[in-house]
Amino acid sequence: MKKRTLFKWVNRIVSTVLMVALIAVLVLVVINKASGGEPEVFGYQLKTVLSGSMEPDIQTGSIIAVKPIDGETKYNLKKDDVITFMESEDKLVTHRIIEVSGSGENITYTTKGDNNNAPDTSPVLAENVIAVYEGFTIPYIGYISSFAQSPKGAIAFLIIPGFLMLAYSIFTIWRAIRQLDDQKKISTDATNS
Amino acid sequence: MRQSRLRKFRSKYRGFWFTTKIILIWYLLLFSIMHFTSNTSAVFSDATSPAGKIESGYWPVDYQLVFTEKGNSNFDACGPFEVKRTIKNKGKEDMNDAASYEVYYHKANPKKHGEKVGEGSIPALKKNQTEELKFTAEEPGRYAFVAKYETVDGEMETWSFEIKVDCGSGQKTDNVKEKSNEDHKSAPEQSTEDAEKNEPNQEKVKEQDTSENKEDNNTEVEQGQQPEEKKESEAEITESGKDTVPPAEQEDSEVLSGDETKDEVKEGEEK
Repeated sequence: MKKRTLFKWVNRIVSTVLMVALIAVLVLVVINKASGGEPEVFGYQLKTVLSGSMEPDIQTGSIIAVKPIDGETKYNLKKDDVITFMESEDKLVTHRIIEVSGSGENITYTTKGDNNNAPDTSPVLAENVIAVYEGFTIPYIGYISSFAQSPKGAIAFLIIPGFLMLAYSIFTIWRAIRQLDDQKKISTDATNS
Repeated sequence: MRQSRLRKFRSKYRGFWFTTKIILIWYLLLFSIMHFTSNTSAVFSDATSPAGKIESGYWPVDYQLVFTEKGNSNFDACGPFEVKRTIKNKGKEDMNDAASYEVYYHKANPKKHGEKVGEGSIPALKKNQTEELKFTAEEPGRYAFVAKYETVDGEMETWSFEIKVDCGSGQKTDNVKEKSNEDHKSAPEQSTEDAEKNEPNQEKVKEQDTSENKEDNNTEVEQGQQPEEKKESEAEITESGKDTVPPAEQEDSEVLSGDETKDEVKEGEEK
């Protein structure tokens, strides 16, 4: 009896989590599609961190939330701010500002990874700064994310659970049908006798 | 009865539904992680700068080294004798690095069969700058300098004309013989001043040599060859005369027959 109550509660919790997650994801996806651009969660962009240049603050394989900035804010960043900037066309880098130089519209930031022993080779133009990191990080999820996006990860995380689910459902259906058959037999036996 | 059976079914399906929910949550989680982070190629740059210097690669420049002396030269000297050649940067640019030179020695043909007897370095020369390369010859024979350097065209080698050092047999170079012998007797290690003094004389002798040799050669050819071939070989010689035929080669040809002379002259020309 106790076991059954426990299971009931766990089942309820799982159902609630599922419903909340479904609704949340649905809402977020709809909002993102409507607004366009980079996907955001409550005004933050999530970034996977796959190298250790900012350890120990940001661990390899974690996810960080960065706040996108625009306009004036880009020119008013200070030393020791951690910024995400476009290093090249398709590469974003998150490093700490160690020096601010220039004035007005010609501000450049010299950046350096906390774990690197030298600053980055080229200073960052203020207009290439995309976001500021404010300290929110979830460790290890980045590994899952990047693994799930690799072919092996897709098989392990998506296809295998799918097959297990399918196999389990077939098994359940087969068992139910057999039970129904058995019951039919019993009932026909009963009527015959 | 029926209700209890339904409950039984439900309890049997419960496990199935529960697993389905768990897997759905898993998929949702994966989807959201991938969706919200996939478009952000936020990979940290591994910009670990190595401590230390990185030397830039060697940059070859466009220059050419030539020996300014034209023609082979003969010196009559016994014992150590300082031979010299002047090298010049005749190229378009200054040299950016020192080059090296080697000295080869052989009794007859240092370029082909010579053994390396000395080496040294040529300092980085500016455009049109010259430098004197020196070597103390110990034995009679022929010496040749070769400059080795790298330019935009790759590894280069420039050979100098030969320097013949002869002990005792220089009938035509009497004055040099005397002079150089004197020098060596008085001061085995020549000072540069002495060497400079000697130079004009030596050059004069060299010129004499060349003219004498040419004459010799012509007579030889005239004697040793058929009239038909004579024209041809004369033409050869006049041609090679323009290019300053190495007198040493010609000296050799004195003892050879007409045909061989031709070959020798050709060889001289190639050089």
